[in-house]
Amino acid sequence: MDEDHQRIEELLAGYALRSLSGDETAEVEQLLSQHVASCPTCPATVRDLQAVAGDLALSAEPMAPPEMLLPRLHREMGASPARRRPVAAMAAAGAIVAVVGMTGLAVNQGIRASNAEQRRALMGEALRVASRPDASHVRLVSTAASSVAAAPVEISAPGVEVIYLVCDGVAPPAPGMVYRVWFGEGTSFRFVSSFEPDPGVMVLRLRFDPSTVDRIVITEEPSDRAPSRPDLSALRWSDAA
Amino acid sequence: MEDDTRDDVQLHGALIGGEQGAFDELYRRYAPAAYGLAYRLTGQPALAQDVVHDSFLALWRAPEAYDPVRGPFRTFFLALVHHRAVDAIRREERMRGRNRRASNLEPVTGEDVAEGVVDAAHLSVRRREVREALAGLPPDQRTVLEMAYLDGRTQSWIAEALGIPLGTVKTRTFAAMKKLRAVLSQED
Repeated sequence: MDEDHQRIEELLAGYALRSLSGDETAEVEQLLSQHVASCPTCPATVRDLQAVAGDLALSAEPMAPPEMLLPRLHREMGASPARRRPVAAMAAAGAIVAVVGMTGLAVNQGIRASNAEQRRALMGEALRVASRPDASHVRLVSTAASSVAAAPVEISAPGVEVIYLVCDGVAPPAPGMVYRVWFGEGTSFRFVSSFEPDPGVMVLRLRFDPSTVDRIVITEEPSDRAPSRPDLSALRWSDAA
Repeated sequence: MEDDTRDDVQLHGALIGGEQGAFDELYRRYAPAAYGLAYRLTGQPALAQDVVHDSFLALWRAPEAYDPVRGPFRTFFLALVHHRAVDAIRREERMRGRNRRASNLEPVTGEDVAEGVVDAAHLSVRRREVREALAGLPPDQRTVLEMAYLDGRTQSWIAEALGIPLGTVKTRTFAAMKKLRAVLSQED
């Protein structure tokens, strides 16, 4: 086995144990999308390492969880069904698959090369996060009851301090207007980014720790007005019904 | 009430349909393993409880995150718990600047502690196999593996703590995992 491959396997082992530095983790995520998929041996190595990591969980002594934990879960399962949308989540997963195809199509249709490469890299990044077992995919909900337009999909995962918004076929804002993304924590909102969706697929990469974000809303506001607080009367999408 | 008539994959299918009974059964099967792992990593009952709570709630809200084709439910779910526990302790370390935790476990006390830990039968068999396999590793390999997985340490931290090159930590880790897989895949 060549030296490079040995290094890759060692990196994959550290990744399965979650014991790599941030730079190495980023390197592995790149390897997973670029090298591993086409390597004759690495996919089996990844599966084996994940299986071992799963088994290692059993080396810790089992302990009875607090008795109030299950009732607490029951309360929250009933009280917050808004983010539990199996159908929406499955639709989101379907959308992600569609996005890959459409990205390829968009590239063929002559988008500038650098732009296309950036898009493809960003899409690969979002897909890597989306494929993690603990990733969350949430299709944002349109606030307009009659709207049938496509909505952005939020992709995030614990420990990844980036939230991706995938806009696939999202209609552009009205002339002179812009979409604005706001992250809410408790009762306060932070302005994150303005955007106007490109035709086809666009991925927004928003550098935030998802554990600090309770809520995501997107408003449609005049582009010449400074974003100080979200105009909730102009709410277009939100992650809670 | 226990439900031994359905396997994990069947329960997961029912969970996608929103069946709370399936959730309760998966909780019964995996909560002790999950809580034991989270407590081993965080060393704090409250933090461990939050990790297990968040993991089960994530399962309820997005059960499609598990794909049975990728492997057993147990591997998926306990990996989720492990990831969240590691993230929790690193976040807490960043906030507190702490450097000690799992070696100094806070005792679990209070009236809320349930009595008697019952491991699901199939887990206790696998648990014994895993422990035997771990015991069969050379001590230097076992040490780096446990520091990484059960203490949630980074490989660079381990290298510094043991006074050995980072490359040695990586080589020992991979060698240990390869050996474990060779032993445990025969018993899978």
